[in-house]
Amino acid sequence: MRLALVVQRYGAEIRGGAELHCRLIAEHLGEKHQVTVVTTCAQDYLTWANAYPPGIHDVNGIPVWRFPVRKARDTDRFGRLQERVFHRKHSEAEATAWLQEQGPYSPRLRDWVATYRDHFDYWISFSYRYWTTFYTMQAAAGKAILVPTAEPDPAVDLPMFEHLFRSARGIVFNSHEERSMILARSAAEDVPADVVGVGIEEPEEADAERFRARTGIREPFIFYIGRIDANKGCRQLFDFFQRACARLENEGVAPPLLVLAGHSVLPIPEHPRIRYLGKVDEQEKYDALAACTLLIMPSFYESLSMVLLEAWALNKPVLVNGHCDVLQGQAVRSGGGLYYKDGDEFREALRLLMSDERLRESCGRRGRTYYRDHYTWPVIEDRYDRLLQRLAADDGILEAVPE
Amino acid sequence: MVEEPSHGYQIDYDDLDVSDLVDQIHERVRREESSRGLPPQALEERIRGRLRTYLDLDDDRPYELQSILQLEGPWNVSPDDLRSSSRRGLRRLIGGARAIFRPFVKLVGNFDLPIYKQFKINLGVAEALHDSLQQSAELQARVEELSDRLERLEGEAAHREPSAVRSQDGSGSES
Repeated sequence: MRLALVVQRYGAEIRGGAELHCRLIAEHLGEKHQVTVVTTCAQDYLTWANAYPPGIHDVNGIPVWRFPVRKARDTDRFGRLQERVFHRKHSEAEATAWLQEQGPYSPRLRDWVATYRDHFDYWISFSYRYWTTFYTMQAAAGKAILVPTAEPDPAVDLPMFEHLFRSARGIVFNSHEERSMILARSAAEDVPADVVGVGIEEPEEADAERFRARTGIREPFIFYIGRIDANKGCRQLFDFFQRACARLENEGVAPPLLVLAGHSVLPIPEHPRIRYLGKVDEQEKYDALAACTLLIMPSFYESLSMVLLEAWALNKPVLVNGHCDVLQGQAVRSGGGLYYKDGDEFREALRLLMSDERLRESCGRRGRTYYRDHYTWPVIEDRYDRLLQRLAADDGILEAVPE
Repeated sequence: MVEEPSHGYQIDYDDLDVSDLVDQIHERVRREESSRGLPPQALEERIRGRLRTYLDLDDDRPYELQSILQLEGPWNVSPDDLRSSSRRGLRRLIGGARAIFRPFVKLVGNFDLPIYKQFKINLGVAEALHDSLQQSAELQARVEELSDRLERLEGEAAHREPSAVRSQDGSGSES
């Protein structure tokens, strides 16, 4: 089939969750289908400033059409609009203005989609809340499949998106929790859909000793990888972890290290049990995962959490924020770790996981089984193929394939 | 097979139930929350930690909390209060003036910030009050349950007493 994937940014160096998700899907579906990516010239997700040249490019063998962003985001205006649209009574005009400021605002991209709508069998748009997705779904109406990558935040409650979900030709969800959340808000039960998620780029090898030699960290540690931001639950993590350390030390128990890696927008506490590595590359990330005792994921808002899959691929248990339905659901379904809802539960779950090697092994083993059963690429590709074939049979593009 | 290692949790390592294990953790934490056995300093430290959590909300949390507790409405201060007015014309004038002067004001300070901080604190206090009321209600129910049980036991004990008194008189066999 001829498939066009639409996403707000695209590039081999772009590590954002939804963008990486799109790229991995493009590259894997591209082995069997004719895939084209349609995106903007933006690289920075805060400003959407044009960084790549416009036109057609090749990224890892996939043709990529890039269109300029007409107007970079005014972050000050965006903050004010978002405050109003999310939390107060507002007009439709204000919601539209918010969406335009949310961006990336690229009318040329939208117009190109409208012009070439029929050149592709289906258009797969990633991330419901961006201007590019909202308007290209309309431009490709009747052929537009949505991969929402939605989290439970105020944006998903906006009336403009209720229609977006209902009008999609198909929906590909990241998790059962995401599916429940969107269906509860949009009554889109009749839209063909499946819970698919995305695979990961499994490393050829992950060397714990290489990590220890590089960093000098030889004692047990819990590992956080990702943007270090209050929105990712990191402020609460610092609070819970420091209090847990104080309590464990009072009881004569040596607390683990908390090792963090990623771009930080929060100050890292000056604490003897907290180490910040800065940004790391993919190999360093996997080496750290191989060396850690467990992965900590404190985020309140996730659509899937690829890093959980990366930990489970290496048989590592996880400790996650139970206030995030997706993370709690993944932990319970997989048996791959524990969850917490307050500082005391965090401390006790941490103590239990650090002290019980059999429990860690059991969680790690279960997590890996769950990952292999649901998130390896043959499974992901098969689910996409089944949905596409179903839609194509309904649309008269292909003969129906028996299930 | 369910095992109970030294940490005291019951775990079936071969058929792990995460929800059950987390429930056990929650139960242990709840038991520890009882004041009994906690030295005053530890209790005070725990209370201070919880107080801080209530009052120092992350920026996204106040609006979520407002929705969860169904506390939307005019009872609380709001960042909008600086420009609200019951007079439509005056409201527009204030809004317009803010738009014009905002860039200059922001050079020297952010007057929205104290209002927003108070907004957050008020919601944090509301959450703490809600949790206290909830715990009080749960304790009240528990006390009533225990009272009922005590009454039943006392009744049963009183019912058994007459046979013990008769045996002491020698009119029956000793029990």
